[in-house]
Amino acid sequence: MKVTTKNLTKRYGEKIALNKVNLEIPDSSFLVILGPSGSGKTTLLRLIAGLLYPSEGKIFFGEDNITQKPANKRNIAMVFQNYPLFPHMTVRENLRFPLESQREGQIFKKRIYSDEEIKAKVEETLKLLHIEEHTNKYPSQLSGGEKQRVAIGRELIREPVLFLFDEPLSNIDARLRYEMRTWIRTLHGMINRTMIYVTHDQSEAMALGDIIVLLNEGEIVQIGSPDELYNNPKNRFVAEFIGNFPMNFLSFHKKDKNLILNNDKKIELPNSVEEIVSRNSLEEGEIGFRAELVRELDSERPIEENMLILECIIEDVEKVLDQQILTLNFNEERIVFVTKTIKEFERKSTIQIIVYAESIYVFDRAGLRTI
Amino acid sequence: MNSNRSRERKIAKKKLSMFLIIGSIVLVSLLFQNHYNVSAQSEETSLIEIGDRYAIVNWTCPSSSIYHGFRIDYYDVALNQSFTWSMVILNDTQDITLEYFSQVNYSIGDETFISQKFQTSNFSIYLVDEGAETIQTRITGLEPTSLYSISLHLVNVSLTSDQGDYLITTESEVQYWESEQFETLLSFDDNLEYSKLATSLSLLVIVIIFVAIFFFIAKRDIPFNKIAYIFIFPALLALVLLEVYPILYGIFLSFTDYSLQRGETPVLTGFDNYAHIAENPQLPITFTTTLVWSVLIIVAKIILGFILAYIIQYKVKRKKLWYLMLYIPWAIPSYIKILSWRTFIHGNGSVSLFNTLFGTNFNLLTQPYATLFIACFVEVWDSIPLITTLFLGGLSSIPKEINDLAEIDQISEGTKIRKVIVPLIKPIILPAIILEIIKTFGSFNVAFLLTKGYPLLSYGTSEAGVIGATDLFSTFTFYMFYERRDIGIAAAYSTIMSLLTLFFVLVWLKMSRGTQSTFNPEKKKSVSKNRSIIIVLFFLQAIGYLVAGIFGFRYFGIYWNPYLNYILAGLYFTMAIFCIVIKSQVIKTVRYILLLDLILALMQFFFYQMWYAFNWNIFIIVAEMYILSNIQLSKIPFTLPELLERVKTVANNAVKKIKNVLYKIDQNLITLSPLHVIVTLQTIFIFLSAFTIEANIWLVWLIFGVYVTVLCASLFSKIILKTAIILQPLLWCGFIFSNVPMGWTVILSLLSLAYILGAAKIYQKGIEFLNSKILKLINYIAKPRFNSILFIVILLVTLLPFWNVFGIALSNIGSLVPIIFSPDNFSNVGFSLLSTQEQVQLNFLNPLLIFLGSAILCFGLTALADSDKSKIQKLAKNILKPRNITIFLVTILLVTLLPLWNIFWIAFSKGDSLVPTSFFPDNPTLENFTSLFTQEQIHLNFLNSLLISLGSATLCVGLTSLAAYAFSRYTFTGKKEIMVGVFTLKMFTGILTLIPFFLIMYNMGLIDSYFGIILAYSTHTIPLALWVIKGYMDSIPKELDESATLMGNSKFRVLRKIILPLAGPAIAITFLLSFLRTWNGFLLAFVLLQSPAKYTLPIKIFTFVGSIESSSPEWGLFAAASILVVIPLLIIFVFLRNYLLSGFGSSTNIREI
Repeated sequence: MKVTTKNLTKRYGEKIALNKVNLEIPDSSFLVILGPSGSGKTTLLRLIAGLLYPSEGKIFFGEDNITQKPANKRNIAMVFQNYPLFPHMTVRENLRFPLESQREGQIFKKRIYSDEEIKAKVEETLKLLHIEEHTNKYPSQLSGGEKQRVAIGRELIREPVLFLFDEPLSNIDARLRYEMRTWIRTLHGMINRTMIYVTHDQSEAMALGDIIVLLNEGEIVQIGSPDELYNNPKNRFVAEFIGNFPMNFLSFHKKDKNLILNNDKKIELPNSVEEIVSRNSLEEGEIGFRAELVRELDSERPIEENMLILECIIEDVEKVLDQQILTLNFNEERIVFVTKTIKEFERKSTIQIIVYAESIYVFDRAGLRTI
Repeated sequence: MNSNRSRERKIAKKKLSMFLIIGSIVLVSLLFQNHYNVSAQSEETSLIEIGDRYAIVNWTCPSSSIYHGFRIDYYDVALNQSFTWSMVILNDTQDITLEYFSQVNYSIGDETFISQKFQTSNFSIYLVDEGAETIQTRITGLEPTSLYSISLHLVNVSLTSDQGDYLITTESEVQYWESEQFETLLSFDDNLEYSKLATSLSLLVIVIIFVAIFFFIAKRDIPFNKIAYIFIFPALLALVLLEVYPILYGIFLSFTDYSLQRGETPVLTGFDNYAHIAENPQLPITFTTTLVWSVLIIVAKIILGFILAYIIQYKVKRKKLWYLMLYIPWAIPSYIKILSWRTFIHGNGSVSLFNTLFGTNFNLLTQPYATLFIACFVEVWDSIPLITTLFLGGLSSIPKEINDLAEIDQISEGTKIRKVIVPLIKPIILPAIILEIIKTFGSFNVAFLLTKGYPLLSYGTSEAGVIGATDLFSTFTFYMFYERRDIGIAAAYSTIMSLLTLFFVLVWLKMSRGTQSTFNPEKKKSVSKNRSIIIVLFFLQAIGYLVAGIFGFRYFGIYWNPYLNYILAGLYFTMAIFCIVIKSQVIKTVRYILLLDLILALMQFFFYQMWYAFNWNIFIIVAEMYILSNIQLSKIPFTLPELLERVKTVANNAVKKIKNVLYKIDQNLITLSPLHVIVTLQTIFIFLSAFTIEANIWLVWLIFGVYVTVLCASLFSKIILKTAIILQPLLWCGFIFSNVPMGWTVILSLLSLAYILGAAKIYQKGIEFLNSKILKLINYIAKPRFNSILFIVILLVTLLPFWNVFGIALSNIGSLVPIIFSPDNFSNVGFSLLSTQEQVQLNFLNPLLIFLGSAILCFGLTALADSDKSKIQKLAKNILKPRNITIFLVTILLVTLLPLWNIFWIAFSKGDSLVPTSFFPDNPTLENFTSLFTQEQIHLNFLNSLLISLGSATLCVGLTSLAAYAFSRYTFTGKKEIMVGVFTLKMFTGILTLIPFFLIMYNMGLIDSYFGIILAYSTHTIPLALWVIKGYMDSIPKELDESATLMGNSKFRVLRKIILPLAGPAIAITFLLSFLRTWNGFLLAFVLLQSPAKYTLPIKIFTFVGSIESSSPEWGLFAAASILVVIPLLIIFVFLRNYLLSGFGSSTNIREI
């Protein structure tokens, strides 16, 4: 099912939660809505689900305008963060309930599924989810992962056209989260329906999504595949938000045709970067580079043209498993440097690092990336 | 062209709408016009009343006339025909008859006589004495709603006899007077039809308006919210029809002249009713009573509630047990509680258990002060569980760490309460307390069931009847409505009350909004603002005193000496001017003046009957003192004329000297201990008992003297305090030789026991060589762990023999009870000075108060002298030890259980004996119970109650659970406002909407029907039910019903399948709460149910004893029925208390809407 939103806006009094969102979600894709908390991602999801009514704008399922349609007539499934299983029903009854709820007719409604069909489907789903032994348990007797699986199974069972996930993994512990993540991806491959997944965790988004929509303060910042978002961030916010480590930024300004970094230290930027600056005639701006792509200067290898070399003081060294995270001080600016070398670094010692020109992004004063 | 046309159209539209508006105004004004307006032609002759089938004419006889009779004709306009109604003949041989009703009355001078009817074959004539000055005739035989005119003819007639029949022949006649045309009223039946129609129509209009507004709002809201409007519609409609409409109707009625007795339609009279009320001398009296009542009760409630909650929260073990004990009275319906207190204190007019026990002579029908204070006590006792719960809720919200911290820092108890606990619970408690004020202000049950306004006050008489010392606004309104059937005036009274309630409600709303569950620092109001308020108040007081001095208006001044008024007015005036002219405050002087005024006002309160001359300045003074206490002295330079300064220094020196003396005494004083308190209490109680038993029994006075001496001495020496144990046997001797009534014996022996136990604790270290088995036992008892249980056991064991010994003697004592409190007894005590005034009616409270006052004064002085207050603090600490706390709680428990035991005893004893003569009834019978079922058929009333309660609870829960779902899940337009509105409506139930509610029910023919009363009670519980169910639904995760909705279920199915099963507990509890409220409901059932076959249990039980002045209360039946009602309620309560308490505790704040 293709889902389209046109100028979707939601206001709570004065506060604008979502501002003119135009989105096109292709059929059977896995779309992840990503954003920091308060960015309006859950609002967007609930608008699509029909749990909220938009202040302005329209929503289309396929070609139908379903903005006015109440939630119970949209035939969509939603998995919530706190896996809301009905506490007064057993696992089996929880799975039966959505099938019993499928009814047709105007006034005197009739069930669509017969008892036998329901029974067969429930058994099938139980097997699929590997929860046969919990059939007669109540939700309070299940563990978190089991609850989440039953919750997903309950949505799965009635074959909806659209799946919505509202941070379904954030209440589960880390190890199980990884497992469930894989399972959800497998599930998408298996049933091949459109899925919309909301998360604030960028690694989850990178792992799951075909398309990622990055929201900030109610507006779409960038839409694209995970690689696109990682490699070609549209602006500073995207570059900062995507990635395991915060991106390093150094601000510069132009003085007498020379690029000068902070506290008036002249710096030799690689030619390609300087070209970008001069092409866009930037007076001031920032350069950014990812912590993962920083290397230590190897004195044995020659210095190349497209290298940026920075001399820093090591402030702090943090060892995480096989990685070392170094916090460096470059002219009172903080630079994070991640390396996998076994070499021991000493605090307060100087270190020379290099960044290749192709991994340097240039941002203008407003934070927009320039090429 | 086009624009011209549209303009024309617009003008036409405007014209049309103008026409419509004017037309409707004219129509409405026509509706409200008086539809009869007849004035007499002749000066002396007038139509004084027009009814449905009659008209009353009043005329003066012409002084010199040749005619000796009147013919009365009426002219029927519809038939265009004249009829002769009757003749009135002046006769010289007139016997004065004592018939009580006649169509024709006449008066000579100020006296009214009744004419004699005489039947002749063509006319019926009325014979009137020749000397008659005015004649009043009631012309009957008219048709309702038709036009007539009446004419009087002077006639000369002769009476001819024809074979035993008399015939009247007219000899000459001349027209004397003719009235204008008038229309007779609707007949009573038609009238009923008419008002039924009117009520139905107005209800219909209300419904249409409501639906229209509702539809309009729903239409404008977003589409997804529409279902919410469907959910809240039934409950809101019920509330609008049965709560909002009565309030509006009540306000309308207050502007009409409408009496149910006469059976007419309401006629608009503007502010006549209010003017009438303002002229009524009873209003200030009732207002005074209500104010004094409210203030006394609120203060007592807050203090007692806080102390109890504090003790239960921090001071005792087995918290839950005490909690349960405290709540047992709450489970008993208030009408049974109140009536049982009446049994206990008043009984059959001063023959009661209380009077027998203590040898007193209480009579709630004759002693105003005593009755007022007892009524207050009962009201406080009735509501103490509730207020304690509120305080407990507040206290338990204080983090335990804060309390622990205070303990670690060794902050004293008093400081902790003042500086830590009170500020923390204040924001939580304050809204609840204002709710309590609203409730107390409109309280009805105690004043109606316990005293019914009695004792009557001689100066409380007006044309509306006599009012009594405990007549509150609510009971007075009820009296006007229920007995006088004067709807207009009663409605005006309840409108005034509603306005006052509205004021408190607004305060409450403001407070509940502004406060949060955590402490928020507030900005203090600027001093200058307060200062200007004070100046205004001073001017007002000055004017009040001037008015009081000049016109003798007694409610704002000193009554007994007009010159004092002028002096005080002058003082206030100068102070106000000082405040303006000299910018600096003259606070200290002002304080002295306020104190002086307060003392004068309080003196008036006690020396005159407060109902007669109550100085309302008391409240203003207290307010001013409060404001003054907020102004910091150090900030204001103190500049006064030197004269005042000198006076001040002199006064200061004197105070210093007194203080020095006190310091010297204080240095010799020993540390106070609980034993001191016990001995003091013993002394006080001996003093009281000495009053009640015959004053010339020298033994008691002797013991009293010894105790006083020992008490004084014991303040200086510990040894004397310890040797006070020797006094205990002396006290016991006193019991034996002086026939002290039972109650005193019990109290005094309790105190004596407490003393021995306390003394044993002190001795236990010093006299270890006396380590005998008895001391071991005492040690064992004194261990705090077993203390409370053992203490109760010992008490019971000690009490049992008393019943055997003194029980027999009781019957003798009963007859010997002297009339202690008659003023004669006090003449020798030195109070005769006060009884010179006519208004003074001394009762026991005066000497008692003076004694207590002086005692408090002594302690206060000691405390004043004690600069570091360590001794008092130590004493407080000692008293607050767990052991002593237990004693305190046990005492409260005993007081609680005493009237209940009385009821229990009465139920199982024979006949209507009221005063127990032994612990268990001598020959326990079930006679009362059997006659309940056989003779009284109480099971039918039981079924009535069950039906009504089940019906209203079902209706209420059904309506509410739908609405609660909508309120819990949707944010639709006006949600907050509607919620607040619903909770505000809760305050306006009871006596405030009773009158219009009754009328609506009456007009709709729902009086005395099950349906009507079910409707009445179901809407009354909607706010509470809404609160409980909504709160519970809020705790059900929203995602549950959202996911169920996404599965394709409609909202109704979600509600049925998911929400209702999950909200089961809340719904069950709400059902039970609603059920209990109807089951215990008194007022509405009392008014709405009229035939005994439909009475509910409360009404049935009330009919057994009736109100206080009833002549033949059947105590036995009442007691037995009460027990039958109470036992199932107690069982329900004990098992479900947690749920029930959570229900009513949460209903008092709206912060979380």
